[in-house]
Amino acid sequence: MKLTDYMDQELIYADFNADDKPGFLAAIADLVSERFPEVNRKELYEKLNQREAAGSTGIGCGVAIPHAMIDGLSKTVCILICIPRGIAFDSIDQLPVRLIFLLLSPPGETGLHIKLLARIARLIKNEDFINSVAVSCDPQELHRQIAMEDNRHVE
Amino acid sequence: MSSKQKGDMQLLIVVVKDHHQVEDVLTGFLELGLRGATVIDVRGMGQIISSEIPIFTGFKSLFPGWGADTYMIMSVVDEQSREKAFQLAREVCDNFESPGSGIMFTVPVSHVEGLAEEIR
Repeated sequence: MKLTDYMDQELIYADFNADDKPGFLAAIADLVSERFPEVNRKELYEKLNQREAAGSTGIGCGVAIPHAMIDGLSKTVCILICIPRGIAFDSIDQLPVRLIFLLLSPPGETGLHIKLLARIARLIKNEDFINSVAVSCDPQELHRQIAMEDNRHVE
Repeated sequence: MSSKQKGDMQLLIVVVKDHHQVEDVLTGFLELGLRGATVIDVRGMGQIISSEIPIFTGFKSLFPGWGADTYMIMSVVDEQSREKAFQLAREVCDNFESPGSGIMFTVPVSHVEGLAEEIR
Protein backbone atom coordinates (compact mmCIF):
# COMPACT_ATOMS: atom_id res chain seq x y z
CA MET A 1 0.00 0.00 0.00
CA LYS A 2 1.37 3.38 -1.00
CA LEU A 3 0.11 6.81 -0.14
CA THR A 4 0.48 7.85 -3.75
CA ASP A 5 -2.14 5.25 -4.68
CA TYR A 6 -4.64 7.56 -2.97
CA MET A 7 -3.09 10.91 -3.82
CA ASP A 8 -3.27 11.91 -7.45
CA GLN A 9 -1.11 14.78 -8.56
CA GLU A 10 -4.20 16.87 -9.09
CA LEU A 11 -5.02 16.44 -5.41
CA ILE A 12 -1.90 18.37 -4.44
CA TYR A 13 -2.41 22.05 -3.76
CA ALA A 14 1.04 23.52 -3.52
CA ASP A 15 0.25 27.13 -2.71
CA PHE A 16 -2.95 27.21 -0.70
CA ASN A 17 -4.17 30.39 0.93
CA ALA A 18 -5.62 30.41 4.43
CA ASP A 19 -5.15 32.80 7.31
CA ASP A 20 -5.93 30.49 10.19
CA LYS A 21 -7.31 27.09 11.10
CA PRO A 22 -11.04 27.97 10.93
CA GLY A 23 -10.45 29.65 7.60
CA PHE A 24 -8.55 26.66 6.33
CA LEU A 25 -11.26 24.19 7.37
CA ALA A 26 -13.94 26.26 5.68
CA ALA A 27 -11.88 26.66 2.52
CA ILE A 28 -10.98 23.01 2.30
CA ALA A 29 -14.63 21.99 2.81
CA ASP A 30 -15.51 24.22 -0.15
CA LEU A 31 -12.72 22.81 -2.28
CA VAL A 32 -13.45 19.15 -1.53
CA SER A 33 -17.20 19.44 -2.06
CA GLU A 34 -16.53 21.07 -5.43
CA ARG A 35 -13.94 18.47 -6.43
CA PHE A 36 -16.07 15.58 -5.14
CA PRO A 37 -19.74 16.51 -5.68
CA GLU A 38 -20.87 13.43 -3.76
CA VAL A 39 -19.46 14.98 -0.57
CA ASN A 40 -21.86 17.06 1.48
CA ARG A 41 -19.98 20.24 2.31
CA LYS A 42 -21.76 20.78 5.64
CA GLU A 43 -21.10 17.23 6.82
CA LEU A 44 -17.43 17.45 5.90
CA TYR A 45 -17.00 20.82 7.58
CA GLU A 46 -18.70 19.61 10.76
CA LYS A 47 -16.74 16.38 10.92
CA LEU A 48 -13.41 18.11 10.42
CA ASN A 49 -14.28 20.59 13.14
CA GLN A 50 -15.47 17.85 15.48
CA ARG A 51 -12.21 16.02 15.02
CA GLU A 52 -10.20 19.14 15.72
CA ALA A 53 -12.31 19.81 18.79
CA ALA A 54 -11.44 16.36 20.10
CA GLY A 55 -7.75 17.18 19.76
CA SER A 56 -5.76 19.01 17.15
CA THR A 57 -4.50 16.94 14.25
CA GLY A 58 -1.50 19.24 14.13
CA ILE A 59 1.03 16.63 15.10
CA GLY A 60 4.06 18.86 15.18
CA CYS A 61 6.97 19.76 12.90
CA GLY A 62 4.66 21.86 10.73
CA VAL A 63 2.38 19.00 9.76
CA ALA A 64 -1.34 18.38 10.30
CA ILE A 65 -3.44 15.38 9.30
CA PRO A 66 -7.11 16.33 9.49
CA HIS A 67 -9.24 13.36 8.58
CA ALA A 68 -12.82 12.12 8.50
CA MET A 69 -15.07 9.33 7.33
CA ILE A 70 -17.55 10.83 4.91
CA ASP A 71 -20.85 9.38 3.70
CA GLY A 72 -21.19 9.20 -0.04
CA LEU A 73 -17.52 9.48 -0.84
CA SER A 74 -16.80 6.88 -3.49
CA LYS A 75 -13.19 6.12 -2.52
CA THR A 76 -10.51 6.98 -0.01
CA VAL A 77 -8.54 10.05 -0.99
CA CYS A 78 -5.60 11.93 0.42
CA ILE A 79 -5.27 15.58 -0.45
CA LEU A 80 -1.99 17.37 0.17
CA ILE A 81 -2.08 21.07 0.89
CA CYS A 82 0.97 23.27 1.27
CA ILE A 83 0.68 26.62 2.98
CA PRO A 84 4.21 27.94 2.55
CA ARG A 85 3.89 30.75 5.09
CA GLY A 86 2.25 28.47 7.65
CA ILE A 87 -0.87 28.89 9.80
CA ALA A 88 -1.60 28.39 13.48
CA PHE A 89 -3.23 24.98 13.96
CA ASP A 90 -3.12 24.40 17.73
CA SER A 91 -0.35 21.93 17.02
CA ILE A 92 1.19 19.96 19.84
CA ASP A 93 4.45 21.88 19.43
CA GLN A 94 2.64 25.18 18.74
CA LEU A 95 4.58 25.62 15.49
CA PRO A 96 2.76 26.90 12.41
CA VAL A 97 1.53 24.23 10.03
CA ARG A 98 2.82 24.32 6.48
CA LEU A 99 1.95 20.87 5.25
CA ILE A 100 -1.51 19.34 5.58
CA PHE A 101 -2.50 15.82 4.61
CA LEU A 102 -6.29 15.71 4.44
CA LEU A 103 -7.44 12.09 4.54
CA LEU A 104 -11.05 11.25 3.71
CA SER A 105 -12.59 7.81 3.52
CA PRO A 106 -16.06 6.42 2.97
CA PRO A 107 -17.63 4.55 5.90
CA GLY A 108 -16.56 0.92 5.75
CA GLU A 109 -12.98 1.79 4.87
CA THR A 110 -11.84 2.19 8.46
CA GLY A 111 -9.00 -0.29 8.09
CA LEU A 112 -7.56 1.45 5.07
CA HIS A 113 -8.07 4.81 6.76
CA ILE A 114 -6.06 3.74 9.80
CA LYS A 115 -3.32 2.22 7.66
CA LEU A 116 -3.01 5.40 5.63
CA LEU A 117 -2.87 7.52 8.79
CA ALA A 118 -0.05 5.27 9.94
CA ARG A 119 1.67 5.60 6.58
CA ILE A 120 1.50 9.39 6.72
CA ALA A 121 2.70 9.41 10.33
CA ARG A 122 5.72 7.37 9.27
CA LEU A 123 6.39 9.42 6.15
CA ILE A 124 6.65 12.63 8.08
CA LYS A 125 9.22 11.29 10.49
CA ASN A 126 11.81 12.24 7.89
CA GLU A 127 12.61 15.88 8.63
CA ASP A 128 14.54 16.39 5.39
CA PHE A 129 11.50 15.22 3.50
CA ILE A 130 9.22 17.57 5.42
CA ASN A 131 11.51 20.55 4.96
CA SER A 132 11.91 20.02 1.24
CA VAL A 133 8.26 19.26 0.63
CA ALA A 134 6.97 22.19 2.64
CA VAL A 135 8.81 24.76 0.55
CA SER A 136 8.14 23.20 -2.83
CA CYS A 137 5.39 24.80 -4.88
CA ASP A 138 5.32 22.32 -7.70
CA PRO A 139 2.68 19.57 -7.43
CA GLN A 140 4.63 17.32 -9.79
CA GLU A 141 7.75 17.65 -7.69
CA LEU A 142 5.78 17.13 -4.48
CA HIS A 143 4.21 13.99 -5.89
CA ARG A 144 7.63 12.72 -6.97
CA GLN A 145 9.11 13.30 -3.53
CA ILE A 146 6.24 11.59 -1.78
CA ALA A 147 6.46 8.64 -4.15
CA MET A 148 10.19 8.41 -3.47
CA GLU A 149 9.68 8.51 0.28
CA ASP A 150 6.80 6.05 -0.05
CA ASN A 151 9.13 3.58 -1.71
CA ARG A 152 11.58 3.66 1.17
CA HIS A 153 9.11 2.11 3.57
CA VAL A 154 7.94 -1.41 4.08
CA GLU A 155 4.69 -2.20 2.32
CA MET B 1 -9.29 -14.89 15.57
CA SER B 2 -10.56 -16.41 18.86
CA SER B 3 -9.10 -19.90 19.27
CA LYS B 4 -8.47 -20.67 15.60
CA GLN B 5 -4.91 -21.28 14.54
CA LYS B 6 -3.74 -19.40 11.51
CA GLY B 7 -0.71 -21.10 10.04
CA ASP B 8 2.59 -20.83 11.84
CA MET B 9 2.22 -18.28 14.58
CA GLN B 10 5.26 -16.64 16.11
CA LEU B 11 5.76 -14.40 19.08
CA LEU B 12 7.76 -11.48 17.76
CA ILE B 13 9.81 -9.70 20.38
CA VAL B 14 11.51 -6.42 19.61
CA VAL B 15 13.59 -4.77 22.31
CA VAL B 16 14.37 -1.13 21.68
CA LYS B 17 16.08 1.65 23.58
CA ASP B 18 14.12 4.68 22.59
CA HIS B 19 10.48 5.57 23.11
CA HIS B 20 10.33 7.12 19.64
CA GLN B 21 11.26 3.73 18.24
CA VAL B 22 8.35 2.20 20.14
CA GLU B 23 6.02 4.73 18.53
CA ASP B 24 7.51 4.06 15.12
CA VAL B 25 7.21 0.29 15.46
CA LEU B 26 3.60 0.50 16.67
CA THR B 27 2.66 2.95 13.94
CA GLY B 28 4.27 0.62 11.44
CA PHE B 29 2.34 -2.31 12.90
CA LEU B 30 -0.88 -0.41 12.26
CA GLU B 31 0.18 0.17 8.71
CA LEU B 32 0.80 -3.55 8.32
CA GLY B 33 -2.66 -4.21 9.70
CA LEU B 34 -1.46 -5.53 13.05
CA ARG B 35 -3.47 -4.18 15.92
CA GLY B 36 -2.26 -6.24 18.81
CA ALA B 37 0.98 -5.68 20.65
CA THR B 38 2.09 -5.42 24.22
CA VAL B 39 4.79 -3.01 25.32
CA ILE B 40 6.62 -3.42 28.59
CA ASP B 41 9.15 -1.15 30.23
CA VAL B 42 12.04 -3.42 31.02
CA ARG B 43 15.62 -3.17 32.17
CA GLY B 44 18.54 -4.73 30.42
CA MET B 45 21.35 -6.67 31.99
CA GLY B 46 23.72 -3.75 31.52
CA GLN B 47 21.37 -1.35 33.26
CA ILE B 48 21.14 -3.54 36.35
CA ILE B 49 24.73 -4.69 36.50
CA SER B 50 26.20 -1.26 36.01
CA SER B 51 23.90 0.59 38.35
CA GLU B 52 22.96 -1.86 41.09
CA ILE B 53 25.95 -4.09 41.54
CA PRO B 54 28.69 -1.74 42.71
CA ILE B 55 31.60 -3.94 41.84
CA PHE B 56 30.72 -3.69 38.15
CA THR B 57 30.18 0.07 38.06
CA GLY B 58 33.47 0.56 36.29
CA PHE B 59 32.49 -1.76 33.46
CA LYS B 60 29.59 0.19 32.06
CA SER B 61 31.26 0.41 28.69
CA LEU B 62 30.94 -3.35 28.32
CA PHE B 63 27.19 -2.89 28.07
CA PRO B 64 26.30 -0.61 25.15
CA GLY B 65 23.00 1.11 25.79
CA TRP B 66 23.22 0.50 29.51
CA GLY B 67 21.88 3.95 30.40
CA ALA B 68 18.88 4.03 28.10
CA ASP B 69 15.29 3.18 28.85
CA THR B 70 14.43 -0.17 27.40
CA TYR B 71 11.12 -1.30 25.97
CA MET B 72 10.00 -4.74 24.93
CA ILE B 73 7.38 -4.93 22.21
CA MET B 74 5.64 -8.26 21.84
CA SER B 75 3.19 -9.30 19.19
CA VAL B 76 1.86 -12.62 17.97
CA VAL B 77 2.15 -12.60 14.19
CA ASP B 78 1.40 -15.08 11.46
CA GLU B 79 3.84 -16.21 8.82
CA GLN B 80 2.65 -13.64 6.32
CA SER B 81 3.07 -10.69 8.67
CA ARG B 82 6.30 -11.88 10.22
CA GLU B 83 8.67 -10.88 7.43
CA LYS B 84 6.99 -7.52 7.04
CA ALA B 85 7.24 -6.92 10.77
CA PHE B 86 10.93 -7.88 10.64
CA GLN B 87 11.55 -5.41 7.82
CA LEU B 88 9.70 -2.71 9.66
CA ALA B 89 11.65 -3.21 12.89
CA ARG B 90 14.94 -3.25 10.96
CA GLU B 91 13.96 -0.02 9.27
CA VAL B 92 13.09 1.65 12.56
CA CYS B 93 16.13 0.34 14.41
CA ASP B 94 18.77 0.90 11.72
CA ASN B 95 19.10 -2.83 11.12
CA PHE B 96 20.10 -3.33 14.76
CA GLU B 97 23.66 -2.65 13.67
CA SER B 98 24.76 -0.53 16.61
CA PRO B 99 25.76 -2.58 19.64
CA GLY B 100 23.21 -2.19 22.39
CA SER B 101 20.65 -0.56 20.10
CA GLY B 102 18.17 -3.37 20.49
CA ILE B 103 17.41 -6.91 19.51
CA MET B 104 14.69 -8.76 17.66
CA PHE B 105 13.73 -12.40 17.67
CA THR B 106 10.77 -14.73 17.38
CA VAL B 107 9.69 -17.84 19.19
CA PRO B 108 7.15 -20.34 17.92
CA VAL B 109 3.69 -20.20 19.42
CA SER B 110 1.81 -23.47 19.67
CA HIS B 111 -1.57 -22.11 20.66
CA VAL B 112 -3.27 -18.72 20.60
CA GLU B 113 -6.59 -17.45 21.85
CA GLY B 114 -7.97 -13.96 21.89
CA LEU B 115 -5.90 -12.61 19.03
CA ALA B 116 -7.50 -9.62 17.32
CA GLU B 117 -8.22 -9.80 13.62
CA GLU B 118 -5.81 -7.85 11.48
CA ILE B 119 -6.97 -4.52 10.12
CA ARG B 120 -8.19 -4.98 6.56
